[in-house]
Amino acid sequence: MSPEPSARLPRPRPPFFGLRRLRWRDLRWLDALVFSMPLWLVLLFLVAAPMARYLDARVFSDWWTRSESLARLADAQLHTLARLPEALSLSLRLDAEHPDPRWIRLHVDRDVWNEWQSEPLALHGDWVEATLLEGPRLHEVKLRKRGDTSVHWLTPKKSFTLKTGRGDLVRGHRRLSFSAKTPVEQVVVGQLARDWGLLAPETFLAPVFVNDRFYGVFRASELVDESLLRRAGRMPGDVFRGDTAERGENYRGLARNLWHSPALWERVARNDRPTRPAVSGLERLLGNLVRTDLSALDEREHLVDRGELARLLAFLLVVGDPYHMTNLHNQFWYEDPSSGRLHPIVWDIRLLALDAAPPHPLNSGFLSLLRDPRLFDEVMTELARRHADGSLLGGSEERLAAIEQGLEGPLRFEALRRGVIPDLTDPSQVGARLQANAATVADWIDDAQVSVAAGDADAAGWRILDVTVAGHAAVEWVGFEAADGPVAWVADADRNGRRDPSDPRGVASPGSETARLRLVPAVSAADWRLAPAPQHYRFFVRGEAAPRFVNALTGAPVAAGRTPPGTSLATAPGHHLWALPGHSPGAVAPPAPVTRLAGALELRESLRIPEGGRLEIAPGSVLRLGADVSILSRGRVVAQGTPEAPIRIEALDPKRPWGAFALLGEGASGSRFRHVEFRWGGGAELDSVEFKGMVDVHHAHDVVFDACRFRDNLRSDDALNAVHAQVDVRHSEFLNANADAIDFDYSRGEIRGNRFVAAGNDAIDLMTSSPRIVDNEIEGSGDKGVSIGEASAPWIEGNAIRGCVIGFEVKDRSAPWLVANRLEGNGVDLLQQVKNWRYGGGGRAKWIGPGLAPAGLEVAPDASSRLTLEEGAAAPAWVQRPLLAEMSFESRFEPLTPDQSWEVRGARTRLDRAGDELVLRARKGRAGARRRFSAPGPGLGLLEYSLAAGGRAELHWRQGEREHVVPLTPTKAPGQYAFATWPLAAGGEGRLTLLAEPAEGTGRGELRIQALRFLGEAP
Amino acid sequence: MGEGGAIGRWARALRGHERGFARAYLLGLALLVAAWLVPAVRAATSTQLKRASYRAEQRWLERVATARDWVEEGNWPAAERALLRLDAELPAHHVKHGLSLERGQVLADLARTHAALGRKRRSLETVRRLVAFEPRNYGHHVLHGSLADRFAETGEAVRAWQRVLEIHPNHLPTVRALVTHHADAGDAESAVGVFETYLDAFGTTPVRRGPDTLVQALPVDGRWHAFDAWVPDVDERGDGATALPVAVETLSEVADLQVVPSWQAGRSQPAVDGPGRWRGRIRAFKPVDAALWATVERSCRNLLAFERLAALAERTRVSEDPGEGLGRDPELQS
Repeated sequence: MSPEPSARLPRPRPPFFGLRRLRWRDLRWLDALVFSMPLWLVLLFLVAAPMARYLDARVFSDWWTRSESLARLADAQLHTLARLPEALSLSLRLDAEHPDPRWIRLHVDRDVWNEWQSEPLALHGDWVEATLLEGPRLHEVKLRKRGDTSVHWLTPKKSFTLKTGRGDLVRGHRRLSFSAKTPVEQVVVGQLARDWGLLAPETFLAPVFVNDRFYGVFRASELVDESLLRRAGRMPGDVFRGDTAERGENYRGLARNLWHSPALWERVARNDRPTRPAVSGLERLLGNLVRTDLSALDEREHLVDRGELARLLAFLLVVGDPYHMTNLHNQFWYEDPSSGRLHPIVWDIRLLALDAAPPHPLNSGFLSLLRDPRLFDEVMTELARRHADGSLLGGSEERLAAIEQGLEGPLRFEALRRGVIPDLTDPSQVGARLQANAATVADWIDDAQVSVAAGDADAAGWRILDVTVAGHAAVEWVGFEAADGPVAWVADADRNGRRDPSDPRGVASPGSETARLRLVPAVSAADWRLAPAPQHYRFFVRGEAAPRFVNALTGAPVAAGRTPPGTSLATAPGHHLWALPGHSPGAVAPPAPVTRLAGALELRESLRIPEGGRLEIAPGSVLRLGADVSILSRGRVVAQGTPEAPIRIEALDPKRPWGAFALLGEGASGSRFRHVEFRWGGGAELDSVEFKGMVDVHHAHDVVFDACRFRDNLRSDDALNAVHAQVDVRHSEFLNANADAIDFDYSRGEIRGNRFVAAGNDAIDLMTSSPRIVDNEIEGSGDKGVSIGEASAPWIEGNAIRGCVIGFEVKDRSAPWLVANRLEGNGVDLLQQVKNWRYGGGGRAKWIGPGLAPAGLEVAPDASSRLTLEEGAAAPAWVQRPLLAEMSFESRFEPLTPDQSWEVRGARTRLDRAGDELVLRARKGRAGARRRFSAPGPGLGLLEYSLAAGGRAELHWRQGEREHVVPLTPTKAPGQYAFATWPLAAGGEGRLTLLAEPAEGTGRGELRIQALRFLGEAP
Repeated sequence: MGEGGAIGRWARALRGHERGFARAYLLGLALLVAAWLVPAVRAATSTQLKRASYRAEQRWLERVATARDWVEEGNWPAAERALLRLDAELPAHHVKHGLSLERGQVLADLARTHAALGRKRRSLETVRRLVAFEPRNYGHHVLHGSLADRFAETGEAVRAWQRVLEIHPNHLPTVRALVTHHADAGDAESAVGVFETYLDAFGTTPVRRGPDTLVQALPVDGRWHAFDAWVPDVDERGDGATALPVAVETLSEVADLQVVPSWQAGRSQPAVDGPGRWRGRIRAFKPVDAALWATVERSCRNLLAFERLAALAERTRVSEDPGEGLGRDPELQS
């Protein structure tokens, strides 16, 4: 019998989730599953996510992932859960449209971005297209993952490189790397390196937003390439990069010490000139550093700058990390083709505690360099100097304060992050560590130790006096404590342990100072630590007196300890100071060798004048040089001919050019050439330095060529080439130059009253140079009369340029003042353009004097360039006034300080830095911007501006009770600028107000300011 | 199985004790979450997971070792099957991945195995993949050169050897291969040029005396070099070349040896022990074997370049067992 239908129906189940309480008695599977969902989510978040990350990390095997553990990741996940509300609240407050120039705002296609983030090596090696928003400007950029180890890819914020198109630089850079690894400390250290005058990439802390969501705080840094060299004012040349550490698997099987194999290095910037030296500077340096004999030190003087190395090591000590430039990586060295020297580039230096145990040994290169005992002494001297003048930490404290204030939100958000993410480093910890290191350095400066062992007197009354110096600071022996009478002393300069007649000697009167003898410690790298080691100096004295010492860095007296007689005296791995030529006590520098040339001479071998030497060429001399024979002087040259008896320097065979007449180094400063004729020279490579002119001046100043003649040079680029030099060329002739007649690279000086005829290329070629070029006559150049390139800013006045293909060519952000020049019969009179994209723009010429168009001059238009006109029959009087102060509006990554800030007026006003201009935009109403200035003195204010046709604008200057109003007239064409002037009263504060109104009918107005200058009184 | 089977019984039990099981499930889950909050549990789980992960790797590595054994035994068919499977499981895609050494090794063995089985195309494709995977490993280029040479792809072999010498200019077998190749092709000038480049190539060797390293890096180029070496304890007095108790990794000659002891404080006598210096001149020679030197000598004579030959002979000493040359990773050498 079947049961009653009602009895078979299940009893209706009361709900488990009651209104007031849970009914545990009625719990069912479905209820349990629903009830457990949050728990599962929590478990998934806490367990599965760290496990997935751990397994992701296990794919790699490097120092970063080897240190990773699931437990740590799980802890981090718990931390994240606990701080989630705070993080969400913070992220909502981070605004991508923040006006701070450091904030980077990127937009990437969402699908591409999801793939980028999906796994560590997704899209690795591929460039991803993106858009960078910089105020009103959009840059089309590309992104690519970067880094050598998984620390850069496993993290949720992955390190990347940003690249723009050529000619579209982002605040002066085409390529920037964004690194997630310890950004705060590395930015502070990188900027400190630049404070110390070291070659280092520009670096800054950048909060990055992707698709308007905060991605992370990164260390943005320019890459080491030719652009870095140019921005740093260095001649383009080879940059060698050594990195076999994390890329070590790629050099598997080889000994990887970079200092023992040039094959392990690569070039990241290239000197591709055909005249570059056959053997690279790197090979010469490595070959030199493996040598242990004394003569290697002499050659090293031409390979590296010891002062710069001392500065580098001193800086590395301040940041506590002389170790991370290891034998395996972080080595970048630039070879300057104009000097043949190598310069270190600071890269990836950490901030460590100076007194902590070193994490790596010092690299072999530093150890070899430190065999020179002068180097460590110079390191300590540099530290003492900077400690005394307060520049030890440069602007680090201000920067840390700016970071803490300006980036507070992003830093707080980052501090909440845990997991597979490198530490950000708290700015206050960075500051504290720098201060601690500075305190350690101060202790070292005071650390002078000396001990003395005195022997028994011999029959003649002479006693051995062994002095051992052991502290960080050198000591100076300054005489004797109170003695009964004069004390005779002999220094064992040849270190044979005996008193020889050749040993230097002297007599010290009681209480008075002897010649101050500097005694430096040796250096040791035992236990990997860079530390001083005892160094021994032997003297012989006659008379009863104790020697007196002072700290050579501070001048404080040093109490001498006692060495037990008979013990073995210390020696150290490096060279002894007295073994170096000219460094033994009492050594007298030999008189500077003078080489005199007179009469008719034939030179069949190159002549070299050493630094400190002098070359004199008598009037009427005729030097005939064999093929490729050169004269290289590191000392001063005096070649003073007369109109009646000029000096001639020419080739033995006119068909086979001689090399170069080259001045190299500061020792050649002050050289004079008068009535000298050079011809048939061809340039040369001498001592691994390229000399691309017939006559060359490198790294010397105050060199004058007066009434000279340069003609018919062969093969070489230039008749006269100056590099990093200050040269005056007056009343000279340049005839039939092979290519350029005068080529100035990173140089200054005066080119006045010369005549240039038929130069094969340019009469005057400037690269990042700012000479005064006045009253010259230029005829028939094969290319330009004056070529002004690579951010040059010369003053060019009163020159006549005739029959050249191009009169003036202004390019690559060069801003010459072209004042009252006469141009006739040139193909194009003024050409402005971009030639090298690394400078980010075309010419910025300022034309003053007779008008261009009325004079019928040919001006080639160019959209990337600007031309500022002040036309008139004659140049206005203000051009002669001295420049007191100048303000440009280059948009960089530095935070805006209050004194740089403009106050914007008007609701519809927009004020931006765009490229290198300040742009005031008005929309449907008047726009205004004002700021205060300290007027530098009585004189004139000078505004360089552009205002579109139909636009209306005014400048107001209020100083004290007086206010000047200057109407700004529209400029004639796009890219054209004008000057406006107003009087400045003496001293006090002034307020400058710029006002712009929309042009009629458009509703928009735009005033562009290129520069603001304050000029002094007329001379 | 139907309702009467084990599953049915379980289903009935679950239905019958639904409330109890549901409570147990919730309790268990809550305990799991609570346990995860205990650091010791997280640490223990981490260790277990790491072990499991290492065990999986270890099994793969053992199979790699077995495949290597088959390669060395010449059991090519078995080796080929095993290596293809190993490559498919953990392919050599990116050198930054873990086990990159072994992944590369699998590819190298596979290329060799294909070659032994006469599969030219597969062998060369595999070795090219290997070179692309780790382009700065000179060993891969050496293998590339030898396989290309074996299959008479001379141009490819020469390019591979040149790449070896760019990375490792002191690799003697490659120098020998290139010199022989040029000499056999009648290009004596190139043969001599390669040898001269080898002699000039930057190479160093440490100079040791007992436990001390006198010179970290002595240039090895057959030329005399002065040295000035500090030692922590001068306990011997050498007075000539023959007495120099030093060890150099290549053939070498010593001259003008001097020992400079330190002094006793306050005394005119030198110390009998303690730190001091060794000074002198030393020249070390690049490893060269007789066959290579004979080829170079013959090439110079063919060029009638007797002065050049004399200059090379001055800088060359033939050794019986020159090995692979200078510059190898000391860890691998040991």
